[in-house]
Parts: sequence; C-alpha cells; structure tokens
Amino acid sequence: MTNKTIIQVENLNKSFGGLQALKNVNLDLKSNEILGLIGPNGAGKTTLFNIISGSISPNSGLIMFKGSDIKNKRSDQRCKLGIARTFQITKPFQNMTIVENVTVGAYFGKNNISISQARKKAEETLELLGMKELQSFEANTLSIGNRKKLELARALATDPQILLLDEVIGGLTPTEVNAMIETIKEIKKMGISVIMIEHVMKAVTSVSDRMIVLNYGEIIARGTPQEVTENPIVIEAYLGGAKNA
Amino acid sequence: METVAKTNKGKRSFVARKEYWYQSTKVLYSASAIILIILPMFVGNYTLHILTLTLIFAVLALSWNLVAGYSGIFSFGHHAFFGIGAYVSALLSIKYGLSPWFGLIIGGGIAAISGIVISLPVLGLRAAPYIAILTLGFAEIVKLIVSNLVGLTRGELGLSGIEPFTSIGSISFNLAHRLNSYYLILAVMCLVVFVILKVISGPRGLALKSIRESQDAAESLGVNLRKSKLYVFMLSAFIAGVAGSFYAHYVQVLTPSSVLGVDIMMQILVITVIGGLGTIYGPIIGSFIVVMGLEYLRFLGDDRLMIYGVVLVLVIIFMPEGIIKKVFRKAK
Ligand SMILES: Nc1ncnc2c1ncn2[C@@H]1O[C@H](COP(=O)(O)OP(=O)(O)OP(=O)(O)O)[C@@H](O)[C@H]1O
Ligand SMILES: [Mg+2]
Repeated sequence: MTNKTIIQVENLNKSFGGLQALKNVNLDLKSNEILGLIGPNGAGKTTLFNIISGSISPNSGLIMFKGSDIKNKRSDQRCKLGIARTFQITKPFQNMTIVENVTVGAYFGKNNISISQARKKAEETLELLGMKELQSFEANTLSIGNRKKLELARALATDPQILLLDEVIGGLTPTEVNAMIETIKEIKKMGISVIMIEHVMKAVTSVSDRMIVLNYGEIIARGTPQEVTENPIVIEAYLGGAKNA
Repeated sequence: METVAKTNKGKRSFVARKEYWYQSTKVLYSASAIILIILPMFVGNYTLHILTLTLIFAVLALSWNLVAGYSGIFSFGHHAFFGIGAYVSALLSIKYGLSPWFGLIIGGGIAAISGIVISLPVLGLRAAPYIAILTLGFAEIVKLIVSNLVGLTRGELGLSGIEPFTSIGSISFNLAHRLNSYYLILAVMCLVVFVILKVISGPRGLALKSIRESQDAAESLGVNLRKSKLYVFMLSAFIAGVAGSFYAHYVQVLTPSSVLGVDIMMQILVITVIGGLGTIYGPIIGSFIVVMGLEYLRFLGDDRLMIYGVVLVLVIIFMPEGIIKKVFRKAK
C-alpha cells in the first residue's frame, strides 16, 4: 500500500454570518485509506464535505487534490477529476428510475464514456450494492435505507478516486448496517479512498484506518479508532454535547 | 432485504394494473392519425383555422415543456420567443423580400439567440420566483421595444399583408388553401415531437431531468448545469421562434399584443399543465382541450374564462400530473 496523499486540506475557514462553522481545519487523506470523521451535531462535518466537493467556497484555506489546487473548479469538474460525494439529506432524482439515477453519475462523472457503456456501468454498480432488481422502479418508491444506497451507487458510478460518505449508515436497519459496512470495505478494496462521516460509532470504528474529531468547527482529536474513542477530550465533547441537547 | 421485497411487490401490482383497450399504443396512434390527418379534410374553413391555431399552440407548449416540464426551470417569458420569431420573419419578408421558408429558420435562429441571452442571468438563479420575474420582465421589454420601434414595426398599428408561405409547385399556402397550411404546421409539430423524443431519451435528456429533480445532486455527479441550461433555453426558444414565424405567415397580420401579450404565456402554461408537464404528448392533448374548448365556448362570452379557471383548478387538484398520465399510465 502506498502512502501517497490524495487530498490535502490546509487552514480551512468558513463562517456563515457570525457563526464560524470551520476553524483552521487541516487534514489529509492518503490513497486507499478510510478516514472516519466524527463530531457532535453542528460540528461542521457536512460543511467540510460541501467545501471539498465544491458546492460552497471557503473564506480561506487551501484544498489540494493530488498536488494541485482545485479552488477554481466547479462541483461537476471536481467530480470528473475523481471526487464524489453522497448527501446526508438524500437527494434522489425522484421521478427517474433507479438505473437512470445511477446512469447520470456513470455518464457525466467521467469524460469520454458512451451512454450505453454508462448504462452498463450503472447496472453493474447496482448489482454490487444488491439493488439490481429495483433498477426500473422510480426513486420515489424507495425506503430510506435504499435511498442511502442509491446515494452511494450514484457516487460510486462516477468511478471516483475519493468518496465522501455523509452518514450513509444512520437510519439503516441492523441488517442493512452490516451489509453497508461490508460494501464500504469492498469499496476500499477497489482502491478508492474514503472520508466517512458517521454517528453510528461501532460502524465508523470498525472500518476506519484513522479518525478525526470535529467540535465547533475545530479538530479536537485525531488518531486510530482506539486512540480517538479513548481520548478524554472526545468523550467530554460528546457528553457535553449531550448535556446541551 | 425485507424492504426491498415490499417495495417490489407494491410496485408490481401497480404495473400489472388492468390496461383498458383505449390505453394500447396501437389504438392511440391510429386514433391520433385519424384525427390529425384524415378528419381535417372534411371540416370547414373555420374549424380548420381553429385546428391550425391548436397545433401552433401545441408546438409552443411542447417547446416550453422542455424548459419547465423536463428541466424544471419555470420561465415565464416564453411568449417573447414566439413574438421574436414572428416579427423577425415578417419584417425580413416585408423589408427584404426574404422567402418565408427562410424566415422560419432565421426567425427560429434569432429567437434561439435571444434564448441564450435571457438564459445568462437565469443561470445564476435557483429560486423560482426570481426566475419567473426575470423572464417575465424580459418578455415585457421585448414587447415594449417592438411597440415603440414604430418606424420599423408600425407599433400597435401592426404589420399587415405579410406574405404567406410561397407555393411549392401547385401546393399553395394562402388563405384560400388552409388545409395545406394545416398540414404544414402538422409536419412541423411532428418534427418537433421527433426532436424532443430524441433529446429526452439521450444523455441531454438525462442531464435535464436530473437538473429538474435536484441541481445539487446533478452537479455533484458531473452534470454541467450551465451548459445544460443554455442548451435547453436555446432549443426551446428556437422551436417557439419557428412557431411564431409560422403564425406570422399564416395569419398574415401581427400586432405586439397578438404575439407578445402575456396572455399567450398564460395559454402556454395552462395547456401544458392540463395536458401534463414533463410528458411528450401532454402539451398536444392540452392544446386541443384548451384552444378548442375556449373557441367553442365563445357563445358563453366572458363566462368561459370562469370555466377555464375552474377547469384549471380542478385539474391541479385532481390530476396534478396532467390528463395524459391519468388516462395513459405509461405516458412519459
Ligand atoms: N448554508 C448554511 N448557512 C448557514 N449556516 C449553515 C449553513 N450550512 C451549515 N450551517 C451551520 O453550520 C454549522 C455546521 O453545520 P454542518 O451541517 O456542517 O454540521 P454537521 O457536523 O454536518 O452536523 P450533523 O451531524 O447534524 O449533520 C451548523 O451550526 C449549521 O447550522
Ligand atoms: Mg451533517
């Protein structure tokens, strides 16, 4: 396994009006690594994904993808470069079939692919996620678990180098959780690097190589899953969050 | 996996719903062919005129449906492209003696360019109300310009004596040969349906529909929002411009209010919504219902507008997906 850095985030800051959602965030993602990103509600996790994927811009800071600054790239261009994401609040293309949903990712996520190749790729991706038999149903018929899988399928079909997963496990049934964990391990084997936001602690700790903890926009801890879960600062942040809630 | 099975079953019974004889595509196509091709040979001039207007509005609604129904961008300035096509083609024929056949293409072309121009400020907007106001404002400006360029357009006095389409051999398109004009607009409409079917079933259609459903998701999956929106505005404006140009050479008189009035936009909207937004044949069915309905209810005077309103409200409440999907389940 090479240890090449694929994504590097330096001194990222983002505020919404008076609220500083991210403060001097630094992180890197190595190739073929799963990085778990945890933190209480409102910590800024999704905001970080929005900035990396290009849907909002930071106030300051740098994002390097394989050594080059991607500040001036739009979301769709970043996707073509190999950065794919899922949405925490799922955004399926409701009145389109499942296979059409995934074909959008397969066709537009890459340059120079024919529509029939894209369709085939979409079917293969659905097969991988065990959703093949649903492919001709419209997305508005899906259960929450399948909507999350559809998010993943679309992102995966873009043939990404890095995948940003925003709570694909929360809300799933126990059986679905186990299946999803297996899928994520499978994705790693395909050579894709993953940053994974997750509240379901058992799930993140079981797949992550390293973890990072955000609290009020700041990184308060990083390390192996064991180091992080045993860190008193992290425990305090979570308990404090629970007290305020 | 349990949820999978459940969705599956629920959906299967839905698909297997009994199909009535009138829902088969064969019956549908033969009926349309008879109504559209054969029936008009046996009707009088007045009915033929109404049928021709119906198809003009069908083409207009088909073009607006590309933007609103397939891409989810509610532009309310579509009548501007109709008016631009009409005036460009009429003026070119009056001032420079250009053949209306070329006018059809150039009228469409200028409308397409205007479509690109108006789409530029729209590209940056996501909120529907702003898009509505901006596009409506654009159409009002076009109308003001046309009304005030009196030297060129004669303002509200209007243009008259616009040349009809020049004969092809012995086939003439003047007012004494309305049937030929009817077949001409029918051919235009079929061509438009063909083009739209092609676009919608290909990658462009995939991009447009994904934009309609979620711009954020579409963009995150590599869809270039700007390019797709520019494209759909350009194509739909071109088609609307062609419809306008046809209208000019068919009725042979033009005033700013007859082709640039906001009531045209209302008509397009109502036709498309009643027929079925985002369906291929909805705008055609809608046009038959609305244009013919309004015409044959003329004896009711202004009360017909009330009926029109009531019908619209009923359709929105009871069949929000439009008539076509209600009657033909598989309609897309
Ligand atoms: N577009 C926005 N405009 C204003 N405030 C925002 C916006 N997006 C996020 N915020 C705020 O920024 C903070 C961080 O939000 P973010 O969604 O990144 O949290 P999160 O860590 O993903 O939380 P959760 O675990 O609940 O998903 C929150 O206080 C949120 O209200
Ligand atoms: Mg979040």
